[in-house]
Amino acid sequence: MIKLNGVCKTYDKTEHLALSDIDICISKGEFVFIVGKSGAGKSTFMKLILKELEPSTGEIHVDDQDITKIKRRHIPFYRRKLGIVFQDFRLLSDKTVYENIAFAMEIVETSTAVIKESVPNALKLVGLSHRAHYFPDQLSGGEQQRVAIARAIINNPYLIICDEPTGNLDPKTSIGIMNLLKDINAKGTTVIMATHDKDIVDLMQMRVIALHGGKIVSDKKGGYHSED
Amino acid sequence: MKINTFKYFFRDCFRSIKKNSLMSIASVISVLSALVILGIFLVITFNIQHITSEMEDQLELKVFLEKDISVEEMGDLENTLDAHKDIESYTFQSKDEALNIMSNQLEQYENILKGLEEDNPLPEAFIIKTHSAGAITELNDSLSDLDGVDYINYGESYVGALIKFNEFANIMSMVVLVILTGISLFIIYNTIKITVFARRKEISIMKLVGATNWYIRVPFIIEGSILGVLGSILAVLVIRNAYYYLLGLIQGQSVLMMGITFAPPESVMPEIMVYFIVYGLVVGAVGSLFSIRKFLDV
Ligand SMILES: Nc1ncnc2c1ncn2[C@@H]1O[C@H](COP(=O)(O)OP(=O)(O)OP(=O)(O)O)[C@@H](O)[C@H]1O
Ligand SMILES: [Mg+2]
Repeated sequence: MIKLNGVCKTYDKTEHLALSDIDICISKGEFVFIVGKSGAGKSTFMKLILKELEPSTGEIHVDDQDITKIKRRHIPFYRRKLGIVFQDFRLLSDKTVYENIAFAMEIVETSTAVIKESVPNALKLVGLSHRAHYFPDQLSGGEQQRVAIARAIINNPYLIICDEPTGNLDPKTSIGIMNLLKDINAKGTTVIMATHDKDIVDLMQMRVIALHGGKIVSDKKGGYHSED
Repeated sequence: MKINTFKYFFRDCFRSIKKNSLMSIASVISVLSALVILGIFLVITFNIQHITSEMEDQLELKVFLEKDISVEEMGDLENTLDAHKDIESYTFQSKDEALNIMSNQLEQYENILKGLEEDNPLPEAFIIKTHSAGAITELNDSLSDLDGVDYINYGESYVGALIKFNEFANIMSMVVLVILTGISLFIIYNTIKITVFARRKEISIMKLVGATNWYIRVPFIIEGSILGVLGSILAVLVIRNAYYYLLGLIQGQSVLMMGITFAPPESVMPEIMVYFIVYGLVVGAVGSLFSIRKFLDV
């Protein structure tokens, strides 16, 4: 499903390796945490998979496709098959909850009939049916994140990428979000989540890949761990 | 693309005009003010053109005929004039008519002139109007050697000056037009750039969700065009009303006008309107297209 071979990443004009010599293999349907201290390279890893960044060396395969070879103009079509969730929610502020989710379907030219059926279902799944016509700034952080999750799953992606989705939320709300992601994962969608929230990682007991200084320091199932 | 997609585009762009009303107003005002300045200049140019063409219309060439011109020579001459492409119209002035005109102009000498009626010394003449002032000197050269033509009279230095002024005014107005168009383009482009900059976050979100560049661009381009056209319509209204107002003021003071007439608004405004609306549309669309470019590289 996802395979990284000898991936290194340096940002422009720096010698410093944000990621160095990464080899990872993630199978379909897995739930994987990427953990590590601030600056360990978690976001860089996520951005590589999203094709927001290009690796300096190495290959990245997603769904049997070498994504480093995708042409610029095909990037949007690649991204449509992924779901993304960020710490800062990234909702369109001038669209309602309903429209934010519908937008992801509009860009893939889904028919209005299908949109009208799917969006309420997604809202129901994340428990926000009563907030459909609110604007993002009228919602709590947890609610906004649930909208983002609804948007992420609306086009049935095979992979959901979450960069610290609970970073701005209190513990109780975080657990709600995690349960949602767990349910989505249970239906077969692969989930990769970057976090430094030890409690959540311990609670979930999933595969954990720990990064330190851009290198993988451990990769095993269970609770939070890093080399320290 | 589906019809629905276009529906979304229009929905989103009206939404964003409303939501970013301050920036929208700023864009409209920048188009408006740039075009009002351009418009004032255009009105001045049109008036200069109008006045010089009125002066050109008054120009005429007097071809005086030899006293002993034969009937054949006369016929040949008329054929030449009929066929000449630079000649708009011509009239024949007989000896009597020439005398009449002269006695009207010189009333105090009426009695002396009366004595001439028996043996009128004034020559017959063709009075020629040309299509343009530029043709007059050439016409003078080509006609003066013809049989039966005695001499030709036209305001030589006056025509020369008018032609020079015409050329100068045309070049000047082209130069100023290009400069003003450039300046207003720059102002409008920068206003739109600020608008787009304020929304760079939205753009990056759309890109991350998988929207293509064109999907993001089109609503911006529609929005830019709408604001551009809105600004240009307002500019047309401002120029139109100001021009009518000004003409009203001047017409009250007809003494000062010395026979000069102004370009009528009905003939000036349609041209300005077409120019402005096309300008607003193109500048709005192209300005948006260019200013969004930078933010699409995500
Ligand atoms: N745009 C950039 N330009 C240059 N260096 C960068 C850039 N983004 C990240 N880095 C560097 O790359 C390294 C990894 O950063 P990254 O954002 O992947 O860390 P992270 O694990 O996500 O940290 P955090 O937990 O704080 O989000 C850091 O040393 C950082 O300084
Ligand atoms: Mg990060």
